[in-house]
Amino acid sequence: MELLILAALPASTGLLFPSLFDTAVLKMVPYALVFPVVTALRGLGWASITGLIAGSAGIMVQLTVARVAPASLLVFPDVETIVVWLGTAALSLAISFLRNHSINSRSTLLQRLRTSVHEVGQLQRKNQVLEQVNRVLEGRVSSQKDSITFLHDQVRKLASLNLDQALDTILETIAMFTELGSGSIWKYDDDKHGLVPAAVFGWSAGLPVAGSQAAAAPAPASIWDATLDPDTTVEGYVLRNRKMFSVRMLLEGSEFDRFVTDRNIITLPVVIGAKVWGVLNIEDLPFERYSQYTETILAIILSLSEPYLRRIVEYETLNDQGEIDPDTGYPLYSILYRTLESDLERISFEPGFVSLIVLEIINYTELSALWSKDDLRHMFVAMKNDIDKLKRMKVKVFHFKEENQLVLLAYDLDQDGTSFFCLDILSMFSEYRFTIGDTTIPIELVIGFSSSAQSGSSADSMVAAAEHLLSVQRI
Amino acid sequence: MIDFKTLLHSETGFIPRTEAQALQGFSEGILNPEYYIYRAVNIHPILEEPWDVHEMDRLLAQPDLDIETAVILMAAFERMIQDPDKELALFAAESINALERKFITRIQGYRTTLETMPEPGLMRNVIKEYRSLARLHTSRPVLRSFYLEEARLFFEEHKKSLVDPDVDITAFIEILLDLKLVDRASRIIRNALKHYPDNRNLRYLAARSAYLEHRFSDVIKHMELLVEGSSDDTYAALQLFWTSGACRG
Repeated sequence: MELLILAALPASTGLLFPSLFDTAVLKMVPYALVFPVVTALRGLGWASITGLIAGSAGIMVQLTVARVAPASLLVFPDVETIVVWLGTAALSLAISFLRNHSINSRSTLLQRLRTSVHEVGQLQRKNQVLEQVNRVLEGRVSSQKDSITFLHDQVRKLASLNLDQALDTILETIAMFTELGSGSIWKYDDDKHGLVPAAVFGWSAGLPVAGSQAAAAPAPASIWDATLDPDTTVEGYVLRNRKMFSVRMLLEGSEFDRFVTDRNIITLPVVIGAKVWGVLNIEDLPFERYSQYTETILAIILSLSEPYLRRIVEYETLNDQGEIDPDTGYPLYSILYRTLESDLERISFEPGFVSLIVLEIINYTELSALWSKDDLRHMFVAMKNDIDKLKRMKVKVFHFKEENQLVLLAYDLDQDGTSFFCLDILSMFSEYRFTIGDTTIPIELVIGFSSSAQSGSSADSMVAAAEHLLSVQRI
Repeated sequence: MIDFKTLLHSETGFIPRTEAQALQGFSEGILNPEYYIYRAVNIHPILEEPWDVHEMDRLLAQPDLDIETAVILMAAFERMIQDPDKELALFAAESINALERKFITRIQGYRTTLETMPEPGLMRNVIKEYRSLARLHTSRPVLRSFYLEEARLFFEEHKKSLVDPDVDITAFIEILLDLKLVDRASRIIRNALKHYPDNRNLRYLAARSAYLEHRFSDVIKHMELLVEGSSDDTYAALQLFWTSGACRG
């Protein structure tokens, strides 16, 4: 429509304002202007069509309104007219060139913009996905339970000298890694001539018996009354033969036909040193967790626990020898000496250190004047517990030569580590106040220590080195 | 070398507590990418001591908390509750309560919607959440059985709508097996296998049921009949474990 109006404009202008266009050249000007204008608006093609329409309209007006003879329109144009038309053509071509260039640039820019918008959209989507993945990974990483760090954390807990606590930790670790429903650790009891539970997990009451036999099984009065016959149970077989049992083995032959196998999914020997100390029995394990992985992880956990269990069992054996203080329950000097000797012998062929730390209470005479012997023994126990809390590292405790002395045996600390350990204890006791009844008295402490890293490989030399340090501090 | 103070500088004062927050902060141009990297590689597992109470709190506050994370949180709370630090023990006790309430609220929501829109999908969600609650209480057998029993009763109430062998029947059998109702589960498995002999889930449950009854040769038989799936499916490793080498029955 706009092109038609433009096409009609030159003829209409000639009709409306005839006085303005009195020469032939001036009459051509409106027609000539149509070309560059339409070229700028619509391009060269449309300009040609519009020009043709405008020319036709002009001829029609000349023939009908101005009554010009058709022959007079067919004369050859003069030079000025030709110049006007050539100028128009040149201008139109220039405008067309500029217009095309502008259109191309615009199109390229638009294309670039579209690509950018598309890329931004893609990046946003990618970002969203990445955030989601992140959230999932974050959850997984922060909540990992089968992690090596968790295993390490659990194994570190075994560094106590409490056997019950250590065995409970082993079962708890196994439960975390294998999702076991119930399990137990058994050891041989010479008095009962059978296997007795040393630790249990997931037992509600008494010995768990699988499936239909559960109702028929006589329940012992308490969990700890349960006893297994070593000759007729898989636990006994594992203890004797130091071999693992797994229920799949029931299908391999008749070897286990004579045993009661209802309670056993996986049974492993608990080896301490070179001897079988007890048996780990997995009684209830989810079907999907009964796998090669579980068998392997059980063996790994027991293997990692072995050095800790050995230390505890050695300590308990020493305690069982009767040379212990009846009030504190700590072994006496003779046991300390033997323990030190055996530790030094062990570390002569194994990596590690042993440190002897003697704590001497300087104001013991003052304390003993105020408190009874029982109170003082109680104070020693409290001191030891506070040291355990401070260091988060379990040590063996013994009495030393005098009654105002306690000895700690710590492991795997080198000379510097032992010094820092002693400094920490001294710093703790510098502000230490012990209260019994209404009396609160500070404890004055001196420490003598020696480490196998420096003081040689004999118990005598270690004791002498620690005593020397004590004597220096007394001065 | 640029020090931590420069790398982890936040002009707006916003300190991201999590990896996702750091990523979001970086996307919005208010944090350096180093913050994201720092957070991404410094995550303290929630089961490890010393307890990361903030991380536990953050996980607990997630509205779409999944059961796997919830179970691990519960394991951590169970241990925390025995802590001599009373505040920590109290935090653990409250968190256990909050965790349980989260799942119960979900069940109540589904049940309310079910009154006007009885769709099998919603019914499955109710059963799923009851089973999640049972999983949360693995160490408390009474509560575990209670929630499993609720799931069983709900299923039986809506059994006409829950008929998909892969989703509904297997879920019901799993509930029965978890409740140690092995005889009943075995009967249902046998009947279901008559109709769907090639169903992998049912076959797997048959093996699981036999395992619980200590019928190990039957376990192997079912494992051998388990139609081969893709090599990375859930049952592949178990099938290999039970049916290869010496354990072939």
